[in-house]
Amino acid sequence: MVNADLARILALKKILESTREGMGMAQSVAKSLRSGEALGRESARLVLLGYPLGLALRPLIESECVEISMLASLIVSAPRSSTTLIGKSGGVLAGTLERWVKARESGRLQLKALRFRGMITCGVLGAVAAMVASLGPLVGNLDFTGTSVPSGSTSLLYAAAGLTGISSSMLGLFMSGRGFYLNVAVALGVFALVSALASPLANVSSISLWGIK
Amino acid sequence: MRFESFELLGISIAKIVTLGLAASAAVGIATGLVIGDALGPAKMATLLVISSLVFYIALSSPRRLLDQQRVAQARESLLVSASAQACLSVTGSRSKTFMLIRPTEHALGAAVKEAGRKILLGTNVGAAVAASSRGIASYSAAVALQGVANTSAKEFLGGDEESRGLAAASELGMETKLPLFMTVCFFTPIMIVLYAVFSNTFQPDRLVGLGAFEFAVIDLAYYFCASERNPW
Repeated sequence: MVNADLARILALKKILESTREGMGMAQSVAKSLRSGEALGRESARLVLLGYPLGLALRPLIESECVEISMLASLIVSAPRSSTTLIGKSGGVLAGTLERWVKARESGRLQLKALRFRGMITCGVLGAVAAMVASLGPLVGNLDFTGTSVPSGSTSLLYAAAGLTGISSSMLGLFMSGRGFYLNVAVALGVFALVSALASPLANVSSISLWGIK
Repeated sequence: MRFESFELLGISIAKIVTLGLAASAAVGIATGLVIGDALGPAKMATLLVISSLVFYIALSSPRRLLDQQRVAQARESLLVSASAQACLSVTGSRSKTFMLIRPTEHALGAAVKEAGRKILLGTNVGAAVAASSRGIASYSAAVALQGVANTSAKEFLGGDEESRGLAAASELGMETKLPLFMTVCFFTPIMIVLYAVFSNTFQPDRLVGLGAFEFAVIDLAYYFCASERNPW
C-alpha cells in the first residue's frame, strides 16, 4: 500500500514532469490529480471549474505534510515565472522531497519498534517496583534486635504504584505520544499482578530471632 | 548553549540570565515546599541540582529555538532555490527575483522582505542580501539567497545536504538520549521505593513528597531527552 503523502508527492512530481515537456500547468494539474485521492480530485475539479491555481491547490498548500506544501507552493508560483522552468527546477526538488517522505516513513516504522520496547520496559518496571514494595519492608526489617516491625507497608504499596504510574506515563509520552495510557495500563497491570502474587510472602509475620543460638 | 544564538534572536544576555535565575529560584522553592522533609539531609543538595538544571534549561532555550529554525530554513532553502532559479531565468533580474520569491518560513521570509526593501531603496543587491542574511540560522538558506544575488542561476540543493546532516545528528542524539531516558524512568521509582523502605519512610505526606521528587527528576530528564527532533 502506497503512503498517502508519497502518492501526493508522486502526483505533484508528475505535474512538474508534464509541464517540463510543454504542457500547460492547469491542464497537467487536471490530468494528474483527477485520478488520485480525494484531496487531489477536489483540486482537479476546482481547476476544471476555472478557479486560479492558488485557490485550487490551497488544500495541498495547507497540507500538514511540509513536502507536499512545498511542491504545491512551487506549482502555484509558476505564473510568476515560467511553467517550463518551474517544471525543470521542480523535478530535482520533487526527487529530494520524495526521499524525505520515504525517510520519514522508515522513521515511523522504527517508532513502532520503540513503542513496543517502551511497553516491555514499563512491564518490567511494574514487576520490579511491585516486588520491591511488597517484599522491601519485610527484608528491610530483618533485624535481630527484637524491635517491632513498623506498619505502613500498604501505604508504601500505593505509593510505589503511583511512582510507577508517573514513570510509565512519562516514558509512554516520550515513546508513543498520545498512546501513553497503554504504557501506564501495562505497568500498573503487571504491578497489580506481581503484588497480588507476592502478598502471601509479604504478610508473613516476622519472628524475633533475639536469643536464638 | 551558544552565545551567538542570543545575538541572532536579538535577546539580551542580561535579560535571559535574570529570567533563568528567577525560574530556577521559583522551581527550587516550589520543589522544596512540595518535597518537604522526605529527602532528609539530602534535600538542599537535591534542590541545588534541580535549580541548576532549570537555570541551564532557561539559558539554552534560545539555542534550541535556533536549532528548530535552522531545520525549517534548511528545508525551505530548497524551495527558495528552485523558485529563484526559475524566476531569475525568466526575468533575468536579481532585483525582480527577490521581489518575486516568497518563503513561508518566518525568519527567512523576513530576511527576503528586508533585502527587497533595501533593494528598492537603492542598495546593491549583493550588499542588501549579505546584510539581511546575517539573521538566518541555516547556512544553506543564507547561501541560497547569496547564490541568487551574486552568481548566475544554477541548481543548488545545499538544503538537502544540511537537512541530511541535521537528521544524522538528531538520530545520533536520540541513540544516546533514548537509553538515558529509559534508564531514568526505570530506576528512579525503584530507587525511591528502596529509599522509602530502608529509611522507614511510610508516612503518606513524606511519600507524596517522594512522588513529587520523582516527577521533578523525570520531567527534567524528559525535557533534555525530548529536545532532539528528527528533521524528517
